[in-house]
Amino acid sequence: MKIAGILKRILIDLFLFALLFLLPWWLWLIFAAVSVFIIDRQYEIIVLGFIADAAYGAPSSNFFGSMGKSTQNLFLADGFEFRFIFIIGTFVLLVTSMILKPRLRFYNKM
Amino acid sequence: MKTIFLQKSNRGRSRSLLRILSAVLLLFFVAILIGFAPDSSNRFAVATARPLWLVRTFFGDKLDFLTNFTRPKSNLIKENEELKRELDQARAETIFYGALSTEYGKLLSVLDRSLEDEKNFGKLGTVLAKPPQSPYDTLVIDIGRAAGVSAGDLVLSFGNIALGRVNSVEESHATVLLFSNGGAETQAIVERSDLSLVLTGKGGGGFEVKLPQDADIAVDDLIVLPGLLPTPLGQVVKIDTAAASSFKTVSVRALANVNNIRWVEVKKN
Repeated sequence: MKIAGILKRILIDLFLFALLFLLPWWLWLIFAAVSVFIIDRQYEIIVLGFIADAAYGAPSSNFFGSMGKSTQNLFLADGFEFRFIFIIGTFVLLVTSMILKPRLRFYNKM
Repeated sequence: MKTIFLQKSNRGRSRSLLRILSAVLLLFFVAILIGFAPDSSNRFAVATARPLWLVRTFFGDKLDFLTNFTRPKSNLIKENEELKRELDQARAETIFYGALSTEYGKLLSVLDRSLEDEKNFGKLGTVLAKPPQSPYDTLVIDIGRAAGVSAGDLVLSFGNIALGRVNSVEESHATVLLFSNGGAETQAIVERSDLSLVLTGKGGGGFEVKLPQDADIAVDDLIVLPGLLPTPLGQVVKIDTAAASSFKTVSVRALANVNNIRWVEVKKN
């Protein structure tokens, strides 16, 4: 039973990982929202968010990157760029599921 | 000896708090990782994603059914009609462009500069990832330092339409920041009136600029990047004029739809 649970978790994680690079971001977040309710304490979803932000975000030498500057010399500019959209999104989904799950009557507590 | 245990509800609450705390710690860890080692994180993430992106590129439009099922049929018919009209218009413009190009070549030869030199053909790259796969206005392309790409290089599509500039380069891939990236400012010129302006990116291929009421700009005006051979960037789609204000807000739409781009040309800065 435990092995079946682990296997289910791995399969769902792999499925989500593949979808991350195939689907539009908003559709992927819907799948992620469903999965955090299927799997208990799915911390790995934040790691998926990290991979997405690292792959799609524009890296910069500064901590927060650059924004509000001319794109013609963006690579030299220092400013602010919010590049944690997926990380924050997955964190919110995870914490919401952690708060809601114990309060849902139909949810089978693991 | 008397032992005091936590009540069941308290135990549940502290367990819940512990789980949320673990999530917060993980959040900080990955945020610090991405913040302090953006290049290494990007290399790792792109290397992980590359096989899947290649599969997507290989299958091309065949995977679009995953998103197309959400679109109503009436929208598709409307879009089809608009595309047909645009195609007819583009055919006519191509003929006109051919004539202008020949004339321009002659003018440059008078100045002892060839049109080929001026065009400075760049490297061709395949787009691995593009919006709407990510909420960022970025493209990931499959050519990098090994192909001579460097940060700041201009990225074009469909021959001569400006998309953005290379933001970061790795050995075998590069990240392109689109001109329409939210908050980004780009110097441009209205082709008809030579009016200089600074476009502010709004994301998703949109730009906005505030101009004085008497500025010479109209809907359908072409916006280009400054240069001897002007590079088209966008077209004016809407002008909001408030009677009480001394400024008008001009909305510009990028000429290239990044959702449909498969190849780009990277030109030396």
